[in-house]
Amino acid sequence: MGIEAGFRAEGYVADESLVLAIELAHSLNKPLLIEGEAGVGKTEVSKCLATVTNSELIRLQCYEGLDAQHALYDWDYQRQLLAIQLAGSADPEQLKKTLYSDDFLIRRPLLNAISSDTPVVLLIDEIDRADEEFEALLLEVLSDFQISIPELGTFKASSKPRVILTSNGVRELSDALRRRCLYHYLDYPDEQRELEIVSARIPDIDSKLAGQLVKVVQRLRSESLRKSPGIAETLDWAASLMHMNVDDLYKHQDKVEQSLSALIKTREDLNYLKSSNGELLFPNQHKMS
Amino acid sequence: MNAFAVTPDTPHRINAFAEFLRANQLRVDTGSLLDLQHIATSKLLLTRQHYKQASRACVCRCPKDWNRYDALFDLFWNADGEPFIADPVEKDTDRTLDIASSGKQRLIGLAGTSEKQSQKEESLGAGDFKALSLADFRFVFDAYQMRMIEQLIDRIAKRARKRVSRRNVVSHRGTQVDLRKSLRHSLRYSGKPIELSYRRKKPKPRRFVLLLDISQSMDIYARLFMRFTRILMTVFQRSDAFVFNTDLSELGQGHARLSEEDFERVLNRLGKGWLGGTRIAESLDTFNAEHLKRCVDTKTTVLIFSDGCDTSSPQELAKRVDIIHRRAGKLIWVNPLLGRYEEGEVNKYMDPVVPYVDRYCSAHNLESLITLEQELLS
Repeated sequence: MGIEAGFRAEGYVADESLVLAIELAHSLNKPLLIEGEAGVGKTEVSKCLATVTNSELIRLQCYEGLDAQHALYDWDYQRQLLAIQLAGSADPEQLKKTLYSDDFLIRRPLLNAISSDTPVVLLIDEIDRADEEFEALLLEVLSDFQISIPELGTFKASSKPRVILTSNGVRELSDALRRRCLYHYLDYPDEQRELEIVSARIPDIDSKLAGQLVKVVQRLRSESLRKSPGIAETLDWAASLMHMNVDDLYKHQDKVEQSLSALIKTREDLNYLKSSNGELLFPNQHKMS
Repeated sequence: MNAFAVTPDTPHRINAFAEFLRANQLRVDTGSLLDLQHIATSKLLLTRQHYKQASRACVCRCPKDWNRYDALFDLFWNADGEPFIADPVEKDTDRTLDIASSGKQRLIGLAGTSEKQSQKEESLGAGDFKALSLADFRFVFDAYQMRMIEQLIDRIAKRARKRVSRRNVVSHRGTQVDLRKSLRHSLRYSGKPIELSYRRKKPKPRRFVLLLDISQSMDIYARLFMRFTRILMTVFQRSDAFVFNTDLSELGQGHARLSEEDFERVLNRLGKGWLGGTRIAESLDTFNAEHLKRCVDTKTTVLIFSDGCDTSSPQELAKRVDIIHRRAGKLIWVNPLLGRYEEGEVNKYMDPVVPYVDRYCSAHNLESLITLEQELLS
């Protein structure tokens, strides 16, 4: 089964250029950097890819202050201390060797991905949240796929992991990192593709309702909302409407209003929507109070 | 969809394509060029469309490149090398802040820089940059110079963003013990925690509240300040912004992401529109009643962009400003018309208000805008 068909089987409707970028990244042994607004399905790409390629997914969630000890490896200091206390007056050289052995090594996601014997998909999520120093650290790992631990030696990947980095564009990434990656910009889907996504993820949904709600979401994205609804929000909203037995947005306007918390995530946006007096939700009948 | 046929000439054409992309400000390094050559012979690619998508993944590095790439690709591969007469190209644009940019895409052709562009670059040499930075915005009519000014505003905001990025540092002093570092240090002393490390509290990002007068009298300045505001809101995401002429409207983060055309459309939808009369005191009254408590605290810098020409009495305006001043960390009033007044000359609109602001300054040209940026971050 090809990647596109595999993704579709997993309920992810990927466009041709994304599939090509994934295949190309594998073929060129390069990481793939996926950029785009929050909620367009960047992280989901890795999850689907892991399932489709029958690989383990290893995820490194980035945040400000993330350092080598949390991303690569660390030593288990508490257990080392315990071992020192228990060893008493044992041979110091022997003790040193024991202390810095694999037994006391805590493997973090990057080392796990590098040292895995089976193929893995390494997801480095929201890289733009990490510091620039961490990016520099990542350069070595991503270019050579090896990690050096002074006390133990060098770990080199036996099977190179498929690496996917995601970024929301919160911070500008360094050119050095971008240069080492293939790039794909994941935009909000157009109406037709979003309809396909909704139908694929929620097969039981009424086609009329799906069409109506996708139209609303598409309309909202062109407005100046503080947080534009992503695909995840569309799916949540669709699921909420189905749960509330809504089969037509225009017939159940009160229920639609109650379900908006699944779609709209800030008070300002909710007020904005209400101030439009239903024009955004029901463009032909302005009935929302 | 055209079939993609590899011919003996293909490697040369790809090299020429890379040159073409470089001439259009895409950074095609040797590695990317090798990838372009490699994928041309890849079995994955059957059509020209495939090659376009694959080469886009290899060459592009940011959303701006991504958006321009298809047009560049089609231009090169469909024109069969025909030179393309181009407009001046944007240089050194801040990539992160492109979301705030509304400039049209400009392409440069195979022939390289056009004569027209060279002439403009010559006319805007290093020596003239200073002249541009001193020129009052109302005297800048040339679209190219205006674009230069917009780029400089982008750069100012970029510098501002760099200054606020701080790391959560481990320190020798502090209130919170960093357990991991302390344990590591204790290994030197047989596990006894003699040397403690602390974690210093992370500084909070700055917060701004921007109040922008978009009335008739602000004219050209309002549009430039709006750009400055949108960039500041993009950089400092906890900031709030408001526009006013006859009444007040809040701008959300969503507004900051809009292009100028879309922004204008939204303003019209709100019933505000660009320009019109001014009711500053009433607008500030609305702000004080509805937003002051939520948006402003002692660590907030409030920035008012206005000439102060109000239909209410200046004393009324001063009262509203005083309320904001008492609550805010710093209140800066930016009056672009300030540069037109002689020192000591009476300004009946602003003189009663000035005692209630921490800083009263002009921002009628780039130099004063740079000074303002320093003031904002001090």
